Amino acid sequence: MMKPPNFTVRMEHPELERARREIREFLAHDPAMATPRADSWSHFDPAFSGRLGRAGFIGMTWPKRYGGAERNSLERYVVIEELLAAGAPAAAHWIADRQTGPQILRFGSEDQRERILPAIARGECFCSIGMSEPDTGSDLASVRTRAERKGDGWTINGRKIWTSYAHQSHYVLVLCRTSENAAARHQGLSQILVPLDAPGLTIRPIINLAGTHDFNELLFEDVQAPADALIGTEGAGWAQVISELAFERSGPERFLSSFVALEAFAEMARREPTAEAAALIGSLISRLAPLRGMSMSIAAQLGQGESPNFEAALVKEMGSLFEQDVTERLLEEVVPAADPESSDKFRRLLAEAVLRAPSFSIRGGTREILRGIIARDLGLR
Amino acid sequence: MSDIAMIEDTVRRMLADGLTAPVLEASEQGKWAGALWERLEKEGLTQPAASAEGGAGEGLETEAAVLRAAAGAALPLPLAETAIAGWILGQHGLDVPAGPLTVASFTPRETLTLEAGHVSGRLEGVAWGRDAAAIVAVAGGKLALLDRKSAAITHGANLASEPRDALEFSKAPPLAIGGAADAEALLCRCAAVRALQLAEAAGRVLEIAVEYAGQRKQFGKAIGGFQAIQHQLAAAASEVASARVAAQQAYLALAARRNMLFACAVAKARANDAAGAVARIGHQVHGAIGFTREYQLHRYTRRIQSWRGEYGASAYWNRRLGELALGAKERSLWSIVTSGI
Repeated sequence: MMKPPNFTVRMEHPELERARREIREFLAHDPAMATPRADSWSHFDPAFSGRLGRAGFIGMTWPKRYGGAERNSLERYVVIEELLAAGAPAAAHWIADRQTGPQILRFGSEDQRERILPAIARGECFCSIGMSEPDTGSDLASVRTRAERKGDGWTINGRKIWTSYAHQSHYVLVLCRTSENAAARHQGLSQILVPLDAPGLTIRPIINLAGTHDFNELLFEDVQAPADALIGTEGAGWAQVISELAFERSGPERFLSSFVALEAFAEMARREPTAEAAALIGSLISRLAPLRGMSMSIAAQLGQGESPNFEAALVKEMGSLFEQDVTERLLEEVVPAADPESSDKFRRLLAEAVLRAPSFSIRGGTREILRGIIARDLGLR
Repeated sequence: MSDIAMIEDTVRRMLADGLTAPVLEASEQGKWAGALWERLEKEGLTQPAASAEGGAGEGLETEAAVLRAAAGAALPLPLAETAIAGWILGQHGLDVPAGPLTVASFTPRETLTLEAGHVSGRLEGVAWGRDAAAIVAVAGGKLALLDRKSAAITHGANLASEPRDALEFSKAPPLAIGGAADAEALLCRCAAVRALQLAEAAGRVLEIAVEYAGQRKQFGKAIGGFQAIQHQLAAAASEVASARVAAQQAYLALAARRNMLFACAVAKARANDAAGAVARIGHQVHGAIGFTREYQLHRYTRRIQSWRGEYGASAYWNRRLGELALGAKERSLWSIVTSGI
């Protein structure tokens, strides 16, 4: 018989309330909050990330000796959901805080940790994900970018694509093939941390449909990386990538990307409440509240070193549907037209959310891939 | 295994053993499954919250475990109604009578009067009204425990052939009268229970559908091997998970006596919609066999379709949630989502 997912809802501890007060206080006084953003973890603002890092809100769960704050995973959850709900421009540090930093902490050498983690925690060092390639999208194990051992280091050749903020970040963690002899294609992969200003690395912009430059295509032509750029074990890249998926897929950024548009709608509707507006808001918050419960349950499990990948896939499946339905419902029922140039907050945020919504069910694993993962955990594959 | 998981497991086993085909068929015909009820009563499972040793919180955890097992077995007995009635009476400091109990629908239209110590008026859609020894209702703004024998009963049923009766009281002497009662709070309490039942029934539908998809072969392979089926069942699994979490959140709010209206409203709205979606998918995956009386799927899906409307359909709770959110003039929507209303 199938094993049901493990979700446990708990009452919020007082330390979570404290974390919530602290981050709200920080945001209330931060100049970036004059202009809240939809899909705000796709708005790159290094100055904001610097202020956030200096206030102790990046790398929150990491040991103090690496610049962390040694707070628990639920306190971090509270902080990141507050950033998203407020529309704070959190893209610059997001990947390093969520993914690259934890990978270095878990698999990196002592030297790598000491060298990189404190800068990430200060909000001064930003990272990109180097996974997808022009011929490697959902089928990640088909990566072809190669790293060869040459003398004392690595020589990298190949291409990466959809690399968000590579043009503004410091490092890209490249998943590459380091051995062709492996019988299974999931073997022979490794993760190498490459500085984005390395000679031989060309970064080309890809403009998204909203007209902004987030994505890039990366061309590696004999890019040299030192031996200690390898993160973790040579050949264990696939297992290392899989181990971070629950971090990548379960967070509140999987359901709050369009929330600010709903908040702005509620602000407007409060002035002249109607039954239709009430129904719209109720129908969405009754979906949001359980999603938060699921995501927090996973945050607690991650804090205990577990890998709740099934649970994370369920959150992303439900969450991306929800954040897309927010824009759907608002477009269906609300009169003021979405306008990215509008001085009206609701119209601008709705426009930003609508233009980004197609990406919600693609980034971080497409809906189809996630449903496949869930089906496997149900015992169907 | 935790104590709570052990209780749930014990009840599951007992029901798997007691719910034989003849018992189920007799229930469908409106016959009271008396032997099974007596067994549940003897095991102390009919007042699960009262039988727990700890405080109210632990009692509710026990109740949830028992009712999960009951809903997962589509038990045709008023175990949930008896549990709620006992809990409400306890909260109001009234004694809990023996035997099966039930509760009114607590809709805003429901108005029993209390004059000179006597109760008059009509209750519609009372779950297991004909079988319950007593009914918990609100009369004249006070909590009232009413004697079934003092009512004129008109039989009715829901889609799963569970009794849903109209009870007419005419200057009936109540069994007990308590203090002031908040009908909306009672509605919330019942909504949380139905939400939990919906989530579990949906969970069982998913289980049955996954099992069937793994066995049924077409085009030379199990239909569960087709992506079209896999993706539907994956969507159903996410619905079940969120409904279960919503029900957990409601029970947690009840135990803490904090944010109950918000959590119960969310739970019922979410469970209604989730269970509806899962019932649709469960039938689609089964094809024609799922549409037969012989196959077990309908025991869950007929209950789901009835329970969705009981103690508040989604439109009711969504509108109520939205009204509360818009009515809190100084609050952001986000602060309501994180701290409740």
